[in-house]
Amino acid sequence: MTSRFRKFLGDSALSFPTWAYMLFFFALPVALVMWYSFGFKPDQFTTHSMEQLSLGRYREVVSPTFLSVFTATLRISIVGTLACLVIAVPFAYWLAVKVPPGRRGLLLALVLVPFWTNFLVRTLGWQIILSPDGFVSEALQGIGLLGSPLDILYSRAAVQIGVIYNYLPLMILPLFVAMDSAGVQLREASADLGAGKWRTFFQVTLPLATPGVISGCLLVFIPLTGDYITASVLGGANGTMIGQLVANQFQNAQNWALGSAMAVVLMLFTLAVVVITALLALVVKAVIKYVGRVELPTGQHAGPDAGTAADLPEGSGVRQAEPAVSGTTTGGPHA
Amino acid sequence: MAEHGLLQPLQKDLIPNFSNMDPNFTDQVWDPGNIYTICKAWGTTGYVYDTYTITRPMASWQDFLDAAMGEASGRTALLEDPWEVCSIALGAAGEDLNTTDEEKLDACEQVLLDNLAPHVRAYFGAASTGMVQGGLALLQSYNGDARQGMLEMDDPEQWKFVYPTPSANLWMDNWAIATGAPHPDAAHALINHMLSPEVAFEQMDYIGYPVGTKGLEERAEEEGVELPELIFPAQDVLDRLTPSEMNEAQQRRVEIFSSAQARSGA
Repeated sequence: MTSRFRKFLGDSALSFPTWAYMLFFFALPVALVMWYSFGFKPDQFTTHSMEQLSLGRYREVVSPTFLSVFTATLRISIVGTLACLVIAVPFAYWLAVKVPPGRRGLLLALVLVPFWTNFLVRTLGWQIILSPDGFVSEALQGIGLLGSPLDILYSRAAVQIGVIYNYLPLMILPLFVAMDSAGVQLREASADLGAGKWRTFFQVTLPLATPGVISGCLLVFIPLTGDYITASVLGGANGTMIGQLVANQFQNAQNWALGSAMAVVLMLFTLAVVVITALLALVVKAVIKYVGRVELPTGQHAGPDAGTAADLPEGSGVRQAEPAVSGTTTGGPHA
Repeated sequence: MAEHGLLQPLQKDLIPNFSNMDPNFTDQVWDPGNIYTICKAWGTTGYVYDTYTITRPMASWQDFLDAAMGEASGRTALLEDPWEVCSIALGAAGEDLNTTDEEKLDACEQVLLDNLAPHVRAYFGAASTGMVQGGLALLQSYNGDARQGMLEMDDPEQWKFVYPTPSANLWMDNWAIATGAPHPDAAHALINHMLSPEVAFEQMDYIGYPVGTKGLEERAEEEGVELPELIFPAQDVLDRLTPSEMNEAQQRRVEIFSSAQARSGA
């Protein structure tokens, strides 16, 4: 039985749970949404019909309303992702480097505790915190920081705070793993070569954590762009996000074809933003590499030593430690 | 739904309590003779306002528009429902709230987008949260939600509900049994149970909307239910309400609603 199973599925038999999950909960639903997006809504009691395939829904999607809401969404997502990054980098560094290993488990658990509560309930909690009659508002007025009640509930600022709170753990966890795997040995080596703490952080630990930064940013940015709950609960009119427009089509208009087309366009736009950001990052990386390069003297030393000069610089000191370190930043054997 | 075969006809002999129903809420246009549906709860739409912010008398949808663009600018909330939002402008213009007329909907869109939307702070499913969280002064609301919000308030004088003229939605939630439901007998028994006078009263007391059985208003008076005028609109109000229809202009209404939301956020 087992062998037949394996013969049928080949070597991927063991990964069956993973690819089955991907197939049934990712590939098929996305394919279905794409398929619906070519359909139309035939009458008011039917959500979609596939009798006539067309690109008509896509023409309806790209309206000024959609574009303006998408721009607002993009702004919330980008600011949210950057804010998460700025908060998470020092925290993850502290957790991976400074905290004694015995206490890390507890602190990581504390990061995860909010996930035990439902996403919607956590967001509703912020309604109470940000409310003009809430305790934050009253405390700020009490100590004289605010002259009038706090006025951020049902605004874009409230959504911004809500998404940073909701998505922060998704940034901390991959960053922590990446910084942890950078390892104490490399930091010691960096210190031995004369680099200070800041220099070690920016030239050793952070570059080695790049994969964590990238996966953290993706984990935060992509779900955030499609978020619908945070904006509905905290946003008001000013914090409307694109997910709500898609939901309007599915729920109020019962127009699955147009809703699907919106969802597909949203996915494509999100993908485009990710690709453009990746290209920009590559360019920036190339520029940094070019600016920070170390010119080796050529010509007069053209001998068997020249080839190994980069790996074994003559002399010692901080200045000469650079080639070895920048070799690591640009994706050497450790990356 | 019935036309598409999604509902099964109700067996009235299994629902003897159907005789408790108030004839005002049976035999509606969408289901003459109550073949598929029985009223579960009904209500209407209006608005609540903060009497400390808005001191002038308020009666119509035009008053709502004026206050939203005046004293309550930036502190107004609308319902998160395309039909209801459109009914503000259509009501103020004195048009049929269910209109499918292109020109009238265009005019409605213009009023909502250019006049009302820039002053709107939020769109809610239920107004009571917005009343309790504070910061808002004018909220479009279902009558029962407004009542719930008011019951939460320390200061009962602060909020006032208006059944706006010339007309507003008369909506009705209904019981119905889906085709292929595995236990239709149990479903009939449940509906029958819910329509018994005792349960009907408890229902009304809990949800804050009348459930459409006879004698509820008298019973509510006897039991001293708070703010009964927000559960039972007066007869002259009932007479001017318009039951909302899901018609072919629904897609257009969603479009207007989405644009209004975007305009409010701009």
